Amino acid sequence: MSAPRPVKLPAAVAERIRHHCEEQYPCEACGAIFGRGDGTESPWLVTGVAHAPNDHDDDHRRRYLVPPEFQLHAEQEARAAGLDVLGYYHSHPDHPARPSEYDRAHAWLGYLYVICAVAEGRAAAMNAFTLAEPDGAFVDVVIEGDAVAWRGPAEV
Amino acid sequence: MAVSILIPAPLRRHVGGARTVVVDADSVAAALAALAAQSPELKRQLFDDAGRLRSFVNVFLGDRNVRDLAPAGDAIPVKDGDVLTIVPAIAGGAADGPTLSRDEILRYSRHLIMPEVTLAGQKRLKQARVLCIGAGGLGSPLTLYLAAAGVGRIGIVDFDTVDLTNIQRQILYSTADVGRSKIEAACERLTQLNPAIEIVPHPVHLASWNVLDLFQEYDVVADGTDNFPTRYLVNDACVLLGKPNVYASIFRFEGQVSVFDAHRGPCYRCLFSDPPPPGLVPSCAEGGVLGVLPGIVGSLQALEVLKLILGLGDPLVGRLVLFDALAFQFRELNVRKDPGCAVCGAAPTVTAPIDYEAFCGIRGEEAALDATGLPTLSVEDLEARRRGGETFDLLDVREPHEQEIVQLPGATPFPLSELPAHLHELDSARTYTISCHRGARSLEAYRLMRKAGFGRLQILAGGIDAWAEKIDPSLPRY
Repeated sequence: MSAPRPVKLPAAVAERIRHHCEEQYPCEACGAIFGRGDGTESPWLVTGVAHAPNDHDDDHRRRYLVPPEFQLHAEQEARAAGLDVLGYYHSHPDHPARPSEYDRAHAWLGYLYVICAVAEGRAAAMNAFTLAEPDGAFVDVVIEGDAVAWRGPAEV
Repeated sequence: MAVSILIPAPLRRHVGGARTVVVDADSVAAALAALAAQSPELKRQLFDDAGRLRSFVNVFLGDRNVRDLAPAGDAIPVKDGDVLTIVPAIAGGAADGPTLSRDEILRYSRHLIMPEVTLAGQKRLKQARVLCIGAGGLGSPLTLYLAAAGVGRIGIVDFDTVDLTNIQRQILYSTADVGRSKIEAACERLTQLNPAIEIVPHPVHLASWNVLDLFQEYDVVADGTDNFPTRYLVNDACVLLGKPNVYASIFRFEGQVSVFDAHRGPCYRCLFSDPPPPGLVPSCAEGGVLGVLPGIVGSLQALEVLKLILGLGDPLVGRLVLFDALAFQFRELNVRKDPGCAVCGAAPTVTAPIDYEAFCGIRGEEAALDATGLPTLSVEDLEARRRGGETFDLLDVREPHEQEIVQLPGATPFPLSELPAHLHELDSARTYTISCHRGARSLEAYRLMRKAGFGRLQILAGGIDAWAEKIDPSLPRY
């Protein structure tokens, strides 16, 4: 299988993700990623993110759950702006920016997943992943930075 | 009816990349069925083998989540132009949680085979951190069962040493442990029972200054203490930190259990806003306790801790269970949250741990006696003056069953319970020296006799226990 397409993530958007992840520390932060990603060849183009509340009822420091109502509104906003929900980001407080088995078990083929590590309250490494095949393993997605400044919905 | 179904990015590959699929249907269920008919793979993603919508798929009709209504989806009509949105659940998280080794799977197999526990529940137990206050009568079965059940981290707070009088009920210890630190003996025993868990010793005196830091590290606190200052301290700290407090207490033949969780119910202060006057409620050392009783009540406490961790059944929140061993009766009282509660009420006055010794008016027995300024006689003086030929009218106000254990030489048995009815047999012009087990009842007898007109009284400080300790070590102590 060929390497997955890269993602173009503007620095300003990456900063918004980091800021949210630091803000929620020591709990996990999560949110939707907007952009364009039609087809399977061209890069994912990220235009913005929306911070979601963490709705997990168990342990917010180790788990996240995006409320379905938030997802609905994110989907509606994205479509209204001619964009898509490309995927979701979340933080790993005091944990590496690598997907856990729990992440993998809950992942959907076709979504982009961005994970930001937060070490003692400070945002650290940020990596992107996607599933290679249904029920398969995560593969790394190369983050290419902001060659193009896209504008899109920032908040939902 | 033409219904639009908005397809999220991950599912578009099943419908030729379409963002929206329009189907003709008259209900939500029919619309989803029409969508699933377009691709067997999509059908497998949306529905399980029994045809139910999978738990990780949400469906919105307009802005209304109809997920839970989907099994009866036929009943949800759609009209022309309606929009259905499929929303895949998004979850994850940093830690994978613990794994269980082959040995652990075997060890916990009787848990794992129960659908209410399973591997997931056993992992929750392994991740759980429980702090047990006191490693005595209640703490023994409590820590033993928590360790056996696989609670991953068990903290124990105790600074006592094992005494021979403990062994009758504190099954954590054996006779060989007498004289050892309880914490040390308990950690050794629990580690033998389950080497796969972590036992954390806290050989400290729990106090206002250290309680918050200590409790912060744990998920559940289990209070098995025998004194009121600690009980209020534990309660207040749990409320302030939002931790559940699994409470139990015992006395003679009776026990109490409850779960105080101020998030969803009352706390101990809602039940007892003020402590009883000092001395009114005797401890086990003063009132005695049947050996097996803490075994039963401490096990109930362990049960509630495990239920909280596993999220099983109905926890004893808002309910106080009273166990009467002699009648063999369990009674349940409903406890309401008190809106005026000093710590968990609407306008709390306790917002940080306070001085609980002062709050409970607690002083040591001897200090209490000294503080009264009443005339006392030490056992050494009694012995010396008797050797010098002096005679004393000594009244031993202990009960007959205690007289059977040991007698104070030269003392007349005069049980406190019968004192009022027999006062006329005594001569109020004489000087009496009153003795009991350790001093508390002598004080009560003194007050009774003073009221009845006896003017010349003194109390033997420390009672027969001091006599046996300092004057005649051949006498048994209890």
